[in-house]
Amino acid sequence: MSEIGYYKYKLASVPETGAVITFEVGGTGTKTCTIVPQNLCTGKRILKYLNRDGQYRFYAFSKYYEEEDKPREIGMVNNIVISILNSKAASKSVGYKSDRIIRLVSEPVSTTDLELLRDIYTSPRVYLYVGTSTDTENDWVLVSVRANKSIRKEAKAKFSQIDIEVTLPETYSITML
Amino acid sequence: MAITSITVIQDNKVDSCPLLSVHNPLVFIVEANYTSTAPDLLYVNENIARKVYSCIPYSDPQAGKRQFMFIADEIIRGLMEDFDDVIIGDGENKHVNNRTLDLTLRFYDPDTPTTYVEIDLTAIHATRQFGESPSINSIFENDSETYIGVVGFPCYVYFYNDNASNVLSVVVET
Repeated sequence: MSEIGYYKYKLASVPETGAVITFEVGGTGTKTCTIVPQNLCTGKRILKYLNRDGQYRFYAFSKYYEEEDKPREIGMVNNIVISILNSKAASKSVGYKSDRIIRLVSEPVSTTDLELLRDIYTSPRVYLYVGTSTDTENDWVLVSVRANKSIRKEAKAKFSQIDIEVTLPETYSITML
Repeated sequence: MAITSITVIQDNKVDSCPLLSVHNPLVFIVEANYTSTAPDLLYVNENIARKVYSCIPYSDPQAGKRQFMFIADEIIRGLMEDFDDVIIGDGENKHVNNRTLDLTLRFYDPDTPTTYVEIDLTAIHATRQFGESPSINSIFENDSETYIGVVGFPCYVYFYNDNASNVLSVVVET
């Protein structure tokens, strides 16, 4: 017996030659899923996103990336100066808030891959892989994605490049608050 | 005023596919056949939260008939669970609880509730664009799909089961 609705099968590890997965109902093949392999550069910049069909898809980005921290000081407080000999400064920093942005690149990207990837720009759920080798709840962080441009085209060269910005959740830091 | 019968004019289904995208406009239209004066009220309820809504009078195509519409997408979206991902075990084939919702809409005469018509549907967290109907036939019919899989990393593939008596199995060829 089964339940009505979506079923999700997890292939533990995609082989270098890809895979073909067939869902069977009563022993009869009903749906064929073809997995096209994408080689992973060292660095494991992988995003998992919800696509237009309510399915979670994966995509790996190049090991060449750029990270930017944008710290903003929360404020300063006065430091009670008892002795100008011992007191270090007249004020002390309360702390910093910071946002971290990672810029990811993927190339070359075929027109077919571009079509499968297009939903990442408008997906409400995009996760960034922060684990090492496992796939558990703790290995994924919910992020937001912004693209510099989300143009898809049938180019003469048949391949193009994707640049996206991934904003991580608020960075916690040590503060006086 | 007496509604003698209610029929479905627009149920958004294509080729009897009950799977409807809940992130697209979903408007159901029903027609009330009546005697005497035209009815101003037609109610609809759903079997999940069991709440009652009022339909909007839409048109009078001919004497004795009045069509009502029910704009359902926001209401049905509010009944559905969030669409966060749930990690499953390697090699596991598991039902995804938070992606679809089976529900029944009952359109009825508030004065005579035994006069009604029902629409059964399955709402799904999916979306289609203008020119594509909200009926997700490609998922319901389990059309073949291509997935991008990162080598050495897990990959999810999906299947839509439309019958609780089905016995499901998965064959992997590498």
